[in-house]
Amino acid sequence: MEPFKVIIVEDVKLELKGTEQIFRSDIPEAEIIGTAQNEGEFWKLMRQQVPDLVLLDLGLGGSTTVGVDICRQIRTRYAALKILIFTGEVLNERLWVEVLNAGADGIILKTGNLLQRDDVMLVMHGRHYVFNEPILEKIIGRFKKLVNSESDKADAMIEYEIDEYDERFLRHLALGYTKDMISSLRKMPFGAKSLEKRQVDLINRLFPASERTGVNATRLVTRACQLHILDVNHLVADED
Amino acid sequence: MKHAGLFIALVIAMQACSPLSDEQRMEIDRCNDRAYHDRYVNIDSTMFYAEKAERLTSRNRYGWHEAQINKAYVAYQQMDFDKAIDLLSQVTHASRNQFHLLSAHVLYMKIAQRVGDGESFFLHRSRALSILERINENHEELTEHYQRMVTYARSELHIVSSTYYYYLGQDSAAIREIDEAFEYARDGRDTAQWLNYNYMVGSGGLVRGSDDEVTLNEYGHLFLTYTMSSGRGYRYFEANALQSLAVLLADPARSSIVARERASSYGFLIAQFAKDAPLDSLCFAMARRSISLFEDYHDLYQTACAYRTLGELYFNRADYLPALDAFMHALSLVENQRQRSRYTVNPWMAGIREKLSMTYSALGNKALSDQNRNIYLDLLDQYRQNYESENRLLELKHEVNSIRLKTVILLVLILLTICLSYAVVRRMNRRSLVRAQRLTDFRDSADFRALTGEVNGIRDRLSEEMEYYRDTLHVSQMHIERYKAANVERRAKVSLVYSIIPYLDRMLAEVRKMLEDSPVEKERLSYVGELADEIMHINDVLTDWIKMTQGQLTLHVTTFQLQEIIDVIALSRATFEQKHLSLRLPSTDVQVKADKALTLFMINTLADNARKFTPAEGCVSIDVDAAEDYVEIGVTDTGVGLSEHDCAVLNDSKVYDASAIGNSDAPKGFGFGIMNCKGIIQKYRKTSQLFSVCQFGVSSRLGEGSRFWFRLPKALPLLWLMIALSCFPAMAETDGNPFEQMYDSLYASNVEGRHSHSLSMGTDFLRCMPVPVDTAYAVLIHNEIAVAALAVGDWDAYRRSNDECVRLHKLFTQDKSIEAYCEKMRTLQESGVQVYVMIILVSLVAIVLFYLLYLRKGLRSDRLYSRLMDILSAHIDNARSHVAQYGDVQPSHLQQAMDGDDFVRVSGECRTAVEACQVDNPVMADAAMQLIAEVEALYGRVLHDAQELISLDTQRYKASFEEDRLYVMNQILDNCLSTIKHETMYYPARAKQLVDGMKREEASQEQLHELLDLLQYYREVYMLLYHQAERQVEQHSFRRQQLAVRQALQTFADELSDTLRRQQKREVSLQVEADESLCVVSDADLFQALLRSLVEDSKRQCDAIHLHAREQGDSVLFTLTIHGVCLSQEETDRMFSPSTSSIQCLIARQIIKEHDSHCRMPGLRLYAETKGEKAFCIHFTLLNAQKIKIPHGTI
Repeated sequence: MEPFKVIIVEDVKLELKGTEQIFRSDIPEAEIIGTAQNEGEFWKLMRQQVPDLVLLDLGLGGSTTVGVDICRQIRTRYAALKILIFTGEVLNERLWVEVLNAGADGIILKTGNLLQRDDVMLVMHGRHYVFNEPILEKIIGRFKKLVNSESDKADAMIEYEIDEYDERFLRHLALGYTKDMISSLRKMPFGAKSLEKRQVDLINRLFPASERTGVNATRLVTRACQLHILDVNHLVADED
Repeated sequence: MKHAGLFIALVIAMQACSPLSDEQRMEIDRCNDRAYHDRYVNIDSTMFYAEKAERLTSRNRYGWHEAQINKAYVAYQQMDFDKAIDLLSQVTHASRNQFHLLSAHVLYMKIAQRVGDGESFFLHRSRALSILERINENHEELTEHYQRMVTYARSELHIVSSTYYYYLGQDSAAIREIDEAFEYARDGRDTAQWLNYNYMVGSGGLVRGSDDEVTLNEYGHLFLTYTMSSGRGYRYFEANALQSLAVLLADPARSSIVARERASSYGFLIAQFAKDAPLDSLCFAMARRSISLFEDYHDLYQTACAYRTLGELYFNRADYLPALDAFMHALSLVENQRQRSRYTVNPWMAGIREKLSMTYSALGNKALSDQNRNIYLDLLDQYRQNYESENRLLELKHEVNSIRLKTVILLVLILLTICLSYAVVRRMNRRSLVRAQRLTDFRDSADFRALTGEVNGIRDRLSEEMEYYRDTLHVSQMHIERYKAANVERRAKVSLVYSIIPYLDRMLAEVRKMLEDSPVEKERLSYVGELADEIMHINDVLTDWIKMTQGQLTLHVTTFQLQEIIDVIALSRATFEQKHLSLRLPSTDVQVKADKALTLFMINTLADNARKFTPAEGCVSIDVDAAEDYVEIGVTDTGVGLSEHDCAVLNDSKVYDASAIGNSDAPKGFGFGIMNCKGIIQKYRKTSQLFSVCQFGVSSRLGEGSRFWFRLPKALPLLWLMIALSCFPAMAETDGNPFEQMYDSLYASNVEGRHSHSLSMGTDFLRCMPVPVDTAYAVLIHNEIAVAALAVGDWDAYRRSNDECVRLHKLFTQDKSIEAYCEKMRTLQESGVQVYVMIILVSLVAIVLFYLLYLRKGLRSDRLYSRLMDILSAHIDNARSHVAQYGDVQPSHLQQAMDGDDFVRVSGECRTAVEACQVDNPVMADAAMQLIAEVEALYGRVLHDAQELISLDTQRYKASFEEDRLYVMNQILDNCLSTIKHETMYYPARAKQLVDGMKREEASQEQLHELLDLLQYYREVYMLLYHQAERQVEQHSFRRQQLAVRQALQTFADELSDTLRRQQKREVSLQVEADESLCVVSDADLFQALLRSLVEDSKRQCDAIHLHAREQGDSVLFTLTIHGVCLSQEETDRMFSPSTSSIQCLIARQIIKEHDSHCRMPGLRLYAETKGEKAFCIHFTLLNAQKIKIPHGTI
């Protein structure tokens, strides 16, 4: 690996010391050309010499999210520069998404095995979305959940014999359409009266006999969401 | 035979109808006089002569009523109050003889006084006084027989009144009455009344002066009573005088004064009762003689009193067993009487019960002593309550006078109304006014005025209610502001806790590296040591911070009915039904002393857990079990249950992995709720000894369900003490009241059986009692001291405290009762006025109807006019009936009224009807239309006020909910942080110790493994506790709104300037510089808290503060320049880093973080820099509201 230049942005001296130690012992190709404890010092260093990689902490001084803004500015001014986030925000998932949107190449959490040589190398080789294990575990967890949800939906469709018209009817009910409005949809060949019957039929399919009394459209739609027939995150009306 | 019977009946009837001769009358009078004379001599003789007089006359004829009064007196003396009242009622119903009625009412008063019926007492007193007023006018013309009756009635009335006031604790009134009695008793015609007067004065409490004077004066009266009564055969007074003399002479101090100053009479008594016996047997002999006389006289009440006196004498001589016998004998007499009659004499029973309590205590039987004391206190309270309405009759009399006055005013008003009507008719005849003008005048009509009056009345009530709602809302908002600031402080602490995690992870990573690389690098090892140091430093900051707030008692302890909490839980019944679970709730009248919001939180949490872990068709039940000093609240379910191991973990472990609780088949909970409940119970226990009964526990069997329970201290067991507290509910709140703290300590000490400690502590407190005295708590403190003194046998201290306790209690409840009654009377008076106003209005309506029906009849325009008038009347009636629906200003009723309101429709119909008349007479129609519009406007105002009230109520409810939410959240966060502090403090220090050990010698693999294990366990425990705290932080307190910068900065500057002026007596220059149009997205409370935090550390040294704000891209940059404080570059750099030791800076950092996460715009700044030699700046940014187009108000 070719030698490359690094600036470390870290406000806690003790942590900076540990990070420098990692570079010295595990990544000897990296030349630390400067370290900054706050935003002002960082931009001063950048004006002196532009590095190949910026290892950026998200929280500096009194601000716990200033790193996101710094990342955005770096990406705007130095498009080719690699940015690796090294943060102790091990639980703040929303901040991870923000900083990825701001142009970071990867996020390494200050937990588990901390900063690994392989991760830095992947970034230097131009790989995007480099994460260490704790983040990957979370991503995989979310992915599994999504896949399971889709499987549940497929199973529910089969188990409760939901056809495309049932799904469309339920989806539009969930979006607040009246039966008259639904019957006027292009891909809905049923009139309002038929939809009434279909609603009764759906109630019989989705609810056990003991719970069918007094079920209205809202309760029906809620039940459809509970059974994964409808995905509340993807409720979109048909284009007419 | 049949004819003979008829003949006898006829003869009797003729006798009954035949007039009585003068001889017969004289004989009847003689019998009645003799019966009266023998009242205090021989009760059997009285009965004999009364019955004889009765036989000589016939029902309701001459002398019969007097005989009934004499018989009633005998029944009264024998405590057969039912019979006495029955006989007297025959007199009061049938007799018109004012002298008989007077005697009957006076006897009624005596009965009422004895049974403690204050209302009846004053009723008959009032009637007796009225009769006396009438008799006064013809006093000189009375026969001697009647003059004797009047003299008796007068003296007896005042003597009974004096007795009544004496028992009520109103000594001055009692003395005034006895002085009045003297005027009538002294004329010498009635020896019994003269003896009665002397006995009353001598029996104690009615003489003023020095101790010696009082003793000699009382002794003189009693001795006179004794000698006179024994000489003339008045056994009743002889026995009474002996009893009182025995009590007086039993006191060694008083006895020696009498022996010294009244040697001859004292010698006479010794010769009579203790001639050859030791001197101390004098009192006993007199008491025994008194018992014997009362028994001969057949006076049950006085016999029991005499036994009680004898018991007291034994008690004072420390002969407790004979004393107990005497008291028990007295009690058995009381119990006999209680079984015979529905009337009980509470003070009579109370006195005996008190003595029994003392005697049992002296005999070492604490349980029976406590039992008798509780009965004693309850009896006192019942007696007191009987007297509560004592002054009502007098007030009623005033009220009657007031009504008379009002009636006169009413008549004048009606007269005026008639005159006015006449004048109006004449005026109408003279002047031909156009009808339109009359229609316009309709707004002066009675209906319209009534409507206006009703509208104003309702609006006044609504306005009052709104003011009250606004006040309570304001209080809630102030609490919210305070709790919010406290919440952000706790969030900052959680952030500080969070800041340790990266260090911990680095330590773990370094140790793992060391295990891989061999040999261990010293530099790496020392780095681990530095990390441990840093963690310890942060722990120290956290510990100092927690310690600083530990002194602030934040629990809101009140006494409340558990049923109130159960009722709130009942509202969530639907959520149980949705899961097909049945929820069983108890009905209870138990009161507990605890924090109401936290108790609700705990029961709710446990019920919610039970709901989650109970399968369908199961049952969740809440039970309340009251023990002697605590109340156990349990939540039982028929759910999945817990294993023995899980139960043991929940019951015994401070820290546990909550997600591991539960079996593998059933869903597992986070279990933080249970941890929080345990934390709250721990907090109670730490707060005061009073809460030492607080406990939390769980019992469960796998597959059979669980029962989670906790215990809270039971509120006071004695009814009357609870009444005293409920008079001042606000005082029950813990706010550093020294009386409450002392009472809590005494109560807890007595409950724990440390009576000597309680006694000395209470006595010390009374010696230097703070002022002003808190009467409610003074009653309670005296009671606790009396209980302690009773238990340790300190009789003097017991009597002092008990007397003071009873005296204060009488004063306390008396004032309250009269005040409440006066308020009620005022309301009644107002209602009376309203009734008369209504009558006047009806008269006016009658005049208007007269005008409509007759004066203009026949004219064409009349029909139209009349129709319009009808429409308007109907419209106003409609408006009134609609307005009346808003009379009940409860928000729920107002909402109901608004939901069913159809006034707009009805008003529309009226408009249509008037428009139809437009063609016939547009001027009149316009006038009517104008009036309709006015009625609509009036109605609209009521509607507007009602809507505002409902809106205020909603706001109030929301604010109260928010207040409780923040309060509970803060309490739980406190518990979490406290647990983190206690449970994790050890590990970094141990890690540091291991590292130091390894630095001294070559680190071995075993040592590294030990360090790794320690750190892994530390992280596990730490994360577990952190997650518990973090779950609370997930609930937000941030209220995003658009904030005008200049105004907010100016508010802060004004408050700071005011604070500095008050606290430091100095002026600091505060300058605000910001554009008027600048707005930021923030929370108003947190913005102020942020500014306060930023200047808190330097406000004492600074000379001037400059607050500046300007736009900077999407943000607004705030700069606080603080002059007069010198900081180095390093200090400003470190100011807001996690390693800072300034708590205020950490709070400021947290507030900026809150803005970051709630405004969805990461990158807000907070930093400091030096400025010249003697100043520094703090910069922070907030989101510019104008750039992101957030609408006004809360988002």
